[in-house]
Amino acid sequence: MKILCYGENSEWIKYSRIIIDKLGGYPYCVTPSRELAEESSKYFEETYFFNGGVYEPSKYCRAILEVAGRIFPDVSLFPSTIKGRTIAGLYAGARDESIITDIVDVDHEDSVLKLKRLVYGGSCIATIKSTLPATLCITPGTQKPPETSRKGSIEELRISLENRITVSLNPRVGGGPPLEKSDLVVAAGRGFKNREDLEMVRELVSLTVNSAWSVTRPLAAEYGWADNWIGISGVTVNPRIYLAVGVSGQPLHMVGARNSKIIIAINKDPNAPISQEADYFIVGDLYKILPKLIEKIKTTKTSST
Amino acid sequence: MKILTLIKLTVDVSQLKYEKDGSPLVEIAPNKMGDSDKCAVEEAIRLKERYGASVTVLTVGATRDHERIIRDAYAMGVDEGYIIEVEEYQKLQATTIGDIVKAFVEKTGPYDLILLGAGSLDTHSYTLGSIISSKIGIPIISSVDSLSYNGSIVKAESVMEDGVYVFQAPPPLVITLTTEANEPRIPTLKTILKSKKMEVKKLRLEELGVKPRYVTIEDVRKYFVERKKIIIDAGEDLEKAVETIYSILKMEGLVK
Amino acid sequence: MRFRESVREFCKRYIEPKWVEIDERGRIPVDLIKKMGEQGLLAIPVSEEYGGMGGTITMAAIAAEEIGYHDPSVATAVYVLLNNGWPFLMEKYSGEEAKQEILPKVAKGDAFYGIASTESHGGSDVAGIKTTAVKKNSTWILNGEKTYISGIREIQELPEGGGYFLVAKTGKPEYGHRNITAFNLIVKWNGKVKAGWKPTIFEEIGRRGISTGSFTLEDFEVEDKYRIGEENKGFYYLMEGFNVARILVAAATIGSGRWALDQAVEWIRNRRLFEGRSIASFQGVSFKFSELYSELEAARLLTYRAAWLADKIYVEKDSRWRERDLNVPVALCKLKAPEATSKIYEELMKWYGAYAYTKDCNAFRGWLGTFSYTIGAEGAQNIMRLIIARDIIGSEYVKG
Repeated sequence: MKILCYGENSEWIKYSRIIIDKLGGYPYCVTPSRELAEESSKYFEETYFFNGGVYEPSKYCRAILEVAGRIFPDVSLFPSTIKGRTIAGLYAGARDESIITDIVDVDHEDSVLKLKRLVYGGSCIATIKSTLPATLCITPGTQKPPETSRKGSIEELRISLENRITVSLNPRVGGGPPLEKSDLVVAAGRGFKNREDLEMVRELVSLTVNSAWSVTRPLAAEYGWADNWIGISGVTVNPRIYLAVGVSGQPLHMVGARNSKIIIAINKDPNAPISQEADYFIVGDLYKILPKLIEKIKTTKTSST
Repeated sequence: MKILTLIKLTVDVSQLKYEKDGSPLVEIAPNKMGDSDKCAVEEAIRLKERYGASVTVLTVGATRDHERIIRDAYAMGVDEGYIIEVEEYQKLQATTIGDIVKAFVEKTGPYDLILLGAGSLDTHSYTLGSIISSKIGIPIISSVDSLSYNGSIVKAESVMEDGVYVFQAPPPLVITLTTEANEPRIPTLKTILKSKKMEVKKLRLEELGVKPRYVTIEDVRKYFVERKKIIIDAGEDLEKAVETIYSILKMEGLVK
Repeated sequence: MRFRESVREFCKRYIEPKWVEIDERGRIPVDLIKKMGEQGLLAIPVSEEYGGMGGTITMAAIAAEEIGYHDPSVATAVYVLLNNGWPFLMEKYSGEEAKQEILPKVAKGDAFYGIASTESHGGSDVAGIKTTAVKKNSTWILNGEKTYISGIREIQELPEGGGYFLVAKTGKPEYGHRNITAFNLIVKWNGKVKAGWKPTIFEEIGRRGISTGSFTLEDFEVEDKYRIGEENKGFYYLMEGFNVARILVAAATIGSGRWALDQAVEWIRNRRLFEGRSIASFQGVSFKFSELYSELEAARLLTYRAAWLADKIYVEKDSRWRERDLNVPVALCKLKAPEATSKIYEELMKWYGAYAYTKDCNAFRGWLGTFSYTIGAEGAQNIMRLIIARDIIGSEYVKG
């Protein structure tokens, strides 16, 4: 089985190896920059790269199709992100092959794929069979492949690529690691009554290592307290710890958090749905708990220095 | 200007109930037009109000509920609506929906804009817009949070992990919209009464010359996550609760 | 019905997030009234030619019920029901000019139109009103007072203004209820308050979002074109109007009652005592719940039956029924609905326990709001009983 992976970012490139190893087969990677190609060459025998520049889906797809035209993949892998699925859809549409997204697990029997994917807003898992060739969009997970010292080959794609539409990017401003790369993600939900109260969350993040914060969709989309959120229509994270504060735990949100190693939830309501999805469910008032937690971190820090 | 809006009859996931073995009771769950589809219809009607566009709506499936959502679209201001008669509409592959839209556009188009929701509530593949773009050959702008049109160029913003992307291009375009794009209007009694009298046009799959491809679903089950589910009552002992959280953070090396 | 769904959508978006504030502050924001006008929730049964929705009384009841559910204090629902029921009556009997002038503005949410019948010496005793209207050429001069009237502040805040379906004594005193004439009493129009209208606002304990107050009329002038129907026939028009308004009142209180039941279900499921038993597992609680539920359902059906009949008579003009056939069905639903709802709130608050006594628990707002209808707004409960008794037993026996 030949597998072509689109290497959107380095975290995904690593995780894709887990999937590829489960499928078995000869893996190729195609990345939109030389920098990412250097990264993927640690995990793939053969990597192609193109100079994608600012993301424009049809341009990126054109390049990936070019590689597919050379290697004839049976399975094409993309991350199940907004960009990943947009490009994957163009790709599968051009190849007129089946495309399955939000995949959390893969398996195969001979040349029939057995895929587990999230459906119904993330509240259910469906097991789907697919013949080859197929395009798969995988929800990035936390597992990492073993480090190797091998170095695969890198080849630059020499084709002329054009944007079909004009694109410009206003990059996100703000320090700290992006959500997807954080080891600790603090999520604020409707339990927060005022925007100013998010200051506690910010403070907690500043006192911890490799952490970031976000919100549930209503706080961003309805109240406008943040630009992005965690959930099925937003960002999926996979930190070591997911600290959900004042979050009720609706499936649409939890889908973005389920990959976390440990989930800690703080909520006033003992019956909140998140109680079923947390490793540690703290029943209590966030306005009492957070300040005490912040105080504890501060005092323990000063006492140890 | 001609606009085609695509809407999907989706399971209302918030009302979904389950059997004891975890299989979802889909047949008895209520169906509705997806939230992002409503935003697509709303955007189309706004363009109609500003630029005098004609708006056509299409859905795949011909049950009474499909007719109902076409009428809901009429009550929002859509001019013409079609339902496609096909077996087991829920199990069709996205590529088939793409084929249907392509054939429909060949029959009734061309359209300046094809608008749809970015992803449905039930199967949320987020790929249909792209598939249609590929098959019809017009560019796509996906997951649009804010759309504007000045009469010749469409400007669309999409918020992603690395920042805000601003896409610009003239029609024809396929555009998929998120629920951030607008607030859909609520039909009034007058528009509801008027929509009851409008005709819903029906086409059969064979008429479009499309061969359906289905997804082979082996199983669907509630997603049970095995978590420790340890409960700590902070009301009873605030100190202990805070201590617990702190020690987990410390253990994972997250406290400086 | 898709109309009910669309009203729910509207309420979830614009009313549900604000209802507590509306009750606490004691004010329905003017922009919400305007939005309701734009959504087509006012003047539903008024003809399209006068700016109405060309709908039915049943649809007005659906709107009142859903709004009553999403604002359980019923203040918003009362605003809506007044501006549905009384414009409907006004259209039936008013002159063309008055209709063209007044109704479109009410439908749009720019003007208020309610009822002014009650006076300080008696509400139920309509025939005993003392406000007079004396004709001088083609103008009527009105003197008197009305009290416990809704909309006093809304009229002053709305851009156009508004007024009332008002009844005054016009004929000889010895003719009793046959000497009452109805008028479109427009007290503020084009943003200007008319001379001779002196309003006061009361502070009420419930349903606080809509204002209640009184006004005196001192040589207030009403042109004859604003007279409603024939002279000295006002009493009968008023009774018709009360029939329609009472159906809508019943629907509004049922909406509130439904909300209370939904809160009750959540609470009795999740409240756990005595080793984690949910209080719903105590039959004293679950059986009581079932009774309250059945009474509300019964009241609901009575209400929609009355609405159905009202549509048969007024909208479809089905000759199988007469207007007087509406009296008992309306009295039944107006008698039963507020009572059923009141009982639900009482019980809900007992299940909540001490929590119900704090303002954090909003149930008291629904309790106080709907209680006013057991006191007797839009028709005292005992009058309802009298109407039923007179009709079924026979007025000659009931009079004694």
